[in-house]
Amino acid sequence: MSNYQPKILGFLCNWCCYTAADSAGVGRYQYPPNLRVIRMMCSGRLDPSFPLEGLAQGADAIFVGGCHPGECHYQDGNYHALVTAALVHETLARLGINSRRFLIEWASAAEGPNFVKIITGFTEYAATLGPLGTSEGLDPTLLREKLAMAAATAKDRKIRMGLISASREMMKGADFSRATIAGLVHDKCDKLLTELVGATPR
Amino acid sequence: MANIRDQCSWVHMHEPEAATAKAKDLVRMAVAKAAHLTALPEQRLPVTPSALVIGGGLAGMTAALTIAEQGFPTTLVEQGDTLGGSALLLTADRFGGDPRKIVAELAYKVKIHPLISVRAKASVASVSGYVGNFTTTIAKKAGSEVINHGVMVIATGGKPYAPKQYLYGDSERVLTQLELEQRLASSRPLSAKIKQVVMIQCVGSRGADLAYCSRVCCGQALKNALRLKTLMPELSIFIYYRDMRAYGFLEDDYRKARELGVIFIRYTPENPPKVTPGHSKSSLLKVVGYDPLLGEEVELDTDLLVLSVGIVPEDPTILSRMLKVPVTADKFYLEAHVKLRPVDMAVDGIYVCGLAHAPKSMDETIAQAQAAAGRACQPLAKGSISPEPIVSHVDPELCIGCGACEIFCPYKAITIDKEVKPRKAMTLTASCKGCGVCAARCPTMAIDMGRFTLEGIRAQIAAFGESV
Repeated sequence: MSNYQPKILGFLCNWCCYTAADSAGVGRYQYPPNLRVIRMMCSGRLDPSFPLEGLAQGADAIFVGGCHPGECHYQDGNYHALVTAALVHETLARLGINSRRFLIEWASAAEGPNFVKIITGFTEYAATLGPLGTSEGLDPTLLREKLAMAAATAKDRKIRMGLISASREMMKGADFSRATIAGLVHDKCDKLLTELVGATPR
Repeated sequence: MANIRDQCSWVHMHEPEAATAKAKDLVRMAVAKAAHLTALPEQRLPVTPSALVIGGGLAGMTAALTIAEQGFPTTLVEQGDTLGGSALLLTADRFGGDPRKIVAELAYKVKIHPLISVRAKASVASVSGYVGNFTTTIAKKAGSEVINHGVMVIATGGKPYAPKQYLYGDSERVLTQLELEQRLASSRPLSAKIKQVVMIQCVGSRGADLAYCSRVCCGQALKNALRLKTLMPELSIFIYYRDMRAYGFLEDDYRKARELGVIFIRYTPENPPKVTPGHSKSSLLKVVGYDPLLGEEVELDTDLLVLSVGIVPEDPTILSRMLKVPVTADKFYLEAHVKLRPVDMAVDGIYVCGLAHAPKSMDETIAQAQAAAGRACQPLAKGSISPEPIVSHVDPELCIGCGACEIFCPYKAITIDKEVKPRKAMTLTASCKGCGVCAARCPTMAIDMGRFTLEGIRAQIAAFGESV
């Protein structure tokens, strides 16, 4: 399956990752041509519905790139992106999808080579997984329908209220580790997600 | 915009078919977004009409003076206790003038200029803001100082590469070109007993240590060889080189050196000359090198071995992170575009010149510093900037007045209007920087961002899906 050419949709923040991608170009660094980029001003703009919609629309994997923790051009947008990412990971797991099909990573504007390393690694990994559903052993058409429904769920007011309180607690606790943030999002959204998307399969 | 050049053709050079497919997708996605674009009202923000120059060497002083001469107050920050930088290491130019004199005159002009304030023994501790409105904290021994400025010039300079090869440090007879310059300027430059001098070019350069050519070392070797010949016409001088880069008028020096009997011997990187020590630290050295033109080994006794070392930049790690500007793999500051936007950094309002950008000669440094100063004066002279009108706006129909946007906004640019019932959020356009965290956290998706609209991003996602 490693010869498979995965389709990857990326959401890059204007100041760091997108600029890193540009500087990779200026430096003529080469990486696999599988990524399609949507530019945003900040990774904090990432709506939880975007990656889910991307997968529903046919992506095999989603990449979100922002500034390094503590280096956000807007102070703390990338931390809020981690909250959004935690919801996406949680949702994918509940759908039986390998949650590593969604990656959020950092590359500063100065780090063209780092961006190239991240994208090359992620593309190679996504290639080993194959088309969406293959490594999961699930029917892709059905999976995409479920993803479209999950994208709609991410627009649900109650779910988003859960994200608001997760973001608030994260800022208050000032612990920005991925594990802590994932825990916060799980605490706030578990009940609703189980109701709307389903429980995580064992 | 469909970013075909930087993010497609340049990074997939060897996969034309896949790159074309990607380019088509990127164009389709961009067109889908464009269909949802609307005209946005432009805002104008005032510019603080002053500049900050980081580094008080030839580049920084020239830039500061050029900006100040155009009427803008300039703060010059130098980490050392005196102005001058690396140019002070040179003791003569090609024409016999003394660069130290020129630099001292420049430093004097800078010091007495009414619009320039020099902060020596100081460093930049933190920077915030954006073009037109930077706020920088300068750390000094006595405490810190906060200054507001509209633009800044990076002129943090470089230093000579410290060689370990060719017995440097082990023998008194091995020195660098810069050390030779110091000796040549001293009262008793060379012992009368000296008969033979060997120079080796590209020491540490164009190889594993420094991947690049430092541009000036060939010219410096020619200049110093001619100076030696003027002092002691009978002296034999041999120069081991890989390629002589005697560009521009340096060609005249090369020709003159040959006319005066300086012998140039080529060497290849696989087979560099070997230096054998004598009995003691002070005894004569033996240099053996293979001459590929002669096809034979050449053995030379040498009284002095002079190493032409390259230039390394001052470590840019902390400052580049602070400014969020890129550096190259060799740690030089990377300009926004070598041909289309030279001396600009990728971040608006920040410019670069001098050795911080790349190795270069003094005249090139002066020209580049003037260019950086010229670019830096543009926003200052204009007096205002128009930031991109990418601010948030609230749909009052959808807004439930929960106030989440107000909590998360890093700029206090969105507030709940308490006068109006029911409560609604409201954007303060001048403060909003368009990050979109408010939109991502709005429970009812009532907030949208200019240029990066929900509809537009969804259209991009859908257009991405059409390729699948």
